[in-house]
Amino acid sequence: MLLKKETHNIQSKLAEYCKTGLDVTIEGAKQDRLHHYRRLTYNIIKGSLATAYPIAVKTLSPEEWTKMVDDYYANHKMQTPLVWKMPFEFYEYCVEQKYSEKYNRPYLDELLYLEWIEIELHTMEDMAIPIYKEEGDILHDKLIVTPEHELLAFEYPVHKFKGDELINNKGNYFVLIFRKHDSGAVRFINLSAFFALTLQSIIDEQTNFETAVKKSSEAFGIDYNQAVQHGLAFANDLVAQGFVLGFDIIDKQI
Amino acid sequence: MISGVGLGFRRDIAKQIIALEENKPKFIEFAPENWMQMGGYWRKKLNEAAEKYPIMCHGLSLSIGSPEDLDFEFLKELKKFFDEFKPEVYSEHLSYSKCDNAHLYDLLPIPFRQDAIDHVSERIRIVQDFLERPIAIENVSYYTAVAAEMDEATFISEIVEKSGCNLLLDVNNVYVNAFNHNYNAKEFIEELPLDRVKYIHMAGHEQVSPDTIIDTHGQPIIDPVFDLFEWTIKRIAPVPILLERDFNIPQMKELQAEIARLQSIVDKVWADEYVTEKRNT
Repeated sequence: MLLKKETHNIQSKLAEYCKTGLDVTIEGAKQDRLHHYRRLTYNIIKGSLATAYPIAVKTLSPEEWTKMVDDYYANHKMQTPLVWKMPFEFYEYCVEQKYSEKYNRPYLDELLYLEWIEIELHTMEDMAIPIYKEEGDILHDKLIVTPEHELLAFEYPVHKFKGDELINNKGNYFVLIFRKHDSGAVRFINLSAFFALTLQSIIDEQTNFETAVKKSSEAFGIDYNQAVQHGLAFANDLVAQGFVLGFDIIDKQI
Repeated sequence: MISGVGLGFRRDIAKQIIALEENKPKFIEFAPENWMQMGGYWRKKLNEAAEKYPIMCHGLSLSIGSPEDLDFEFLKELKKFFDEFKPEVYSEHLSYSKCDNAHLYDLLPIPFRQDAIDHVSERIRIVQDFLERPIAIENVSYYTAVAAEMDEATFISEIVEKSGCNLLLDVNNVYVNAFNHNYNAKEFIEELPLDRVKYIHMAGHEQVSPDTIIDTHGQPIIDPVFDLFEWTIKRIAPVPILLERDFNIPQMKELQAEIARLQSIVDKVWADEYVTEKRNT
């Protein structure tokens, strides 16, 4: 390393000052100008996080939010060189530091995750889509779905309610979030537990709709024929909303 | 080869830049870090822009002045990105934005010292070898020097000389630094290796106190910076010019008017030079 330890230490002092804002004396620096660096770097972090988590910002008190941002900037070593990915590290940091417990806001981790996943799905690299046909048999053909999606289970309905309303509505919630292939817009679909399990079978096990509904009916003890009737409406809605892109071109599953 | 005046490609004005049919910038410039590893809507917009305009890339996170090792995973991604978009120039800031394994996402001043020159020059050579392309380093604005043992012009010149890199001359940054550190902007520019200038940046700034200007890229270019620009380009060979506007972005017609003003200066100075050269030969 050609850089002397002394120069490294000076650079570290300035970087540490930017992160913490704690008073520092740096050799040969104009002390009354140093604060610009703290302000400029802090504003980038604060601004990026406020843009990424607008609902969390509104949900928490200004003091709570600011403390989270300050702690994160001061203590976390941000790893990604891509600013747009940095808010994910903030989410991970907040979970690790248990702010949901500290603030007695048990929904906080789920809220932050929901806000992050919307960004991630909107922005993530395009994933490969198998060749598919647009016309097919919705019950028996293997469905081709948009690959940029997440099937989420929440204890708190962070996708529907705000603030302390969330606490009063603790339960089991399922949400499908996906990126529309044509427009790139992110869409949310509320799911019942039954259809969440059905979708999971279709996505993870690549079963056709009929098989997936059969499996869910057995798991929930629901009449299969009735479930298929409801399921057809649900499946057609998934097509209409753009989650189901089409049908596998290979052959029908048994 | 790209020439003329380009415009920074920012998300706020991406659609407008893509839609422009008249008074288009000659090229666009963007930070690879703001578009890398992206798909969906924004990737489509970037692809549309890349089909319409020649491209320059101006990096944010290489952190050439970091005291630690280079991030080769990042460089690999950068190379992949450049293979796809083929920017004519890749430039970066002569500063550091990562220290002790933490990114800060803004530009901190490197101490103007001999060991920093050696260190940064070696890192530039490694990056150039890895990317298989020259890079242009930009003189950054700074609000205080830190533990300096030499002046800024010497620091920049020695790095350009030792590393073999090119120079991106940010004329607004020179103006800002000259104001903030009370030196003569023209004398500073004359001390730089002007034959290595391959690209120029122009932008606006904001004066926040009687003795401090912040390089915000959030205001129109002021007349004294236009004057310094004209004075500067009389001393260098023709290179592309970029108008940077990152905040407080006005209507497109205002940006187009700034571009037109820059282009008229470029046409006047470099066309005259061309005529003079032709006459001499």
